[in-house]
Amino acid sequence: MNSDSSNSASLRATDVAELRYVDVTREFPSSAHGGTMVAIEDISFSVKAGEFVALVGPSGCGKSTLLNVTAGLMPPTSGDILIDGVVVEDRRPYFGYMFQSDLLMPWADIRKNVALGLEILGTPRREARDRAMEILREFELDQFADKYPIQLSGGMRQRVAFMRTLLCNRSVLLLDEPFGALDALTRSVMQEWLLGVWERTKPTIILITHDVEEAIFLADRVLMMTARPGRIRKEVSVDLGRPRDHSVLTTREFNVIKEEILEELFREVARSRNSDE
Amino acid sequence: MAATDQKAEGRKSSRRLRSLIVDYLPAIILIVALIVFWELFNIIFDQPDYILPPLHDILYAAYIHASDQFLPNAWVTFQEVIIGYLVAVVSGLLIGVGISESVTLRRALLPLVISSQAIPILAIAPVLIIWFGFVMTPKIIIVVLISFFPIVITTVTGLQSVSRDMLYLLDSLSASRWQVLHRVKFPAALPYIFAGLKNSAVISVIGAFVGEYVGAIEGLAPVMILANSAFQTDVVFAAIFYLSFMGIFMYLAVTLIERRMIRWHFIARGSAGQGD
Repeated sequence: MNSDSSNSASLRATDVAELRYVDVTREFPSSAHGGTMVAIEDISFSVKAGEFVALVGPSGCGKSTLLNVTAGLMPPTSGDILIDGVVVEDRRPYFGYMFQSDLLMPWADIRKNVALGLEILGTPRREARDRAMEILREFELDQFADKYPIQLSGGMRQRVAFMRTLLCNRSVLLLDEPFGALDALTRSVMQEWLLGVWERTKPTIILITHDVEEAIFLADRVLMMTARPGRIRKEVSVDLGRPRDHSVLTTREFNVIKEEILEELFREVARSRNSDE
Repeated sequence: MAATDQKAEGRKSSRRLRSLIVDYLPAIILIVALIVFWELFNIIFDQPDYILPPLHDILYAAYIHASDQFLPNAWVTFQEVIIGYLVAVVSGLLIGVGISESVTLRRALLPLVISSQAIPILAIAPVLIIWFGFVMTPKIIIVVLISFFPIVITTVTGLQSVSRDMLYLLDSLSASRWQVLHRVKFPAALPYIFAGLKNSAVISVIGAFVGEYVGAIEGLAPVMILANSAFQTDVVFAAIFYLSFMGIFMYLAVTLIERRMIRWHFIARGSAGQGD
């Protein structure tokens, strides 16, 4: 059994060295016009192992669609996502998916909730729960092991949900606005916590957020998306050095990046609003 | 230390008792008022006792005829209720899962299930008696017919209550349909299902009674029919009391199982005491 889960990065069964999006487009049938709605269009970028990439964009820019396509939950209409240069039939085993809502099962205690992913993947129940307990202990959440989700605060529940994702040992984590439902203070505590976990375990992360500060604070690179159809408009690399804490938020370098992104974002929001009218 | 704890415990329990009385005060007042009104009805409106027998006459009838009439006949009715109910639970759950999880089964079963509820039970009860005779079978069938529907509906609603994101999450783990169903959908459906089970538990008693009313030799309904034709309204009401108790018993039994099976559903929010 893996008792030293801080080394889990090296134990990943399906390591991905590079993830490459090639002109990924996804359309949905739109009943309104009998035609199609293009959610994302010609998305091309790549992500390297251990990288933390954030996608920001106005609401309705197809960010969630991009993650669903990435995780292999729906096929792209055209284009492809290459894993280490190869088209993979079933991409699901490479990705751990985490949503805005914690999706914890209210009928199961925290330990069982954390073990869910492993158990579904076929780990025997006893072993899955032992490993859930280990990871809870490692990240100092073990005092909640016997509690039920409803007994925990929103922030704690998201930590537990993240433990569940982490325990599945997937090589790329897809985080869909994981802190979107939390209050501002809890969110900034959670951001630092996430950075701490990421620095210890070093998974590849693709984070979706509409919070520009969050994106810059967490990521190595920030990709900006346009609204309807979602395209990648701009890429900004964040050279802020690591490890980071919240003091970085008030530095000049941080604000230069923030200004650059916000300017572009406001232009994009204005553009999409004009096209709506 | 232990003594003060005990004292505090005692104070706490007496406070709990007091708050319980306060909580139920409206119900208690209402019931007492009803009893008083019932007892005084014939005196106030100058009616003979058989119109609305006084409560104490009904209770007396329920007691005096308990061993020779009510208990043996209630036992017959109860068997119809419990057998029919258990069949309804099993079939309701299976049909509910089928309708929720398979498009083919939904198309095949849903019209039948709904039309089975549109048929007046009183219309088919006599036919069932002709088919099966004055035995338990037609009553059990009617109990099943009347009580499986709420279970089907709540099962379907419950299974569909799982959020789309949760299904995405399970899909991202390559979960099989069976895993999705038994690990997530079914536990999530249980609170809904128990609402249906409680509803069915109570109406199953009505089902058995209707079945007996159309044609039976044993059971609470024949007792009532006989008493009614003899103007023994106290016996009629006593039989109604037995039926009500049966309904209450069924409801409480299901509630008890619910409390054991979905204990998590009754945990108070934020009761662990935590912080971020």
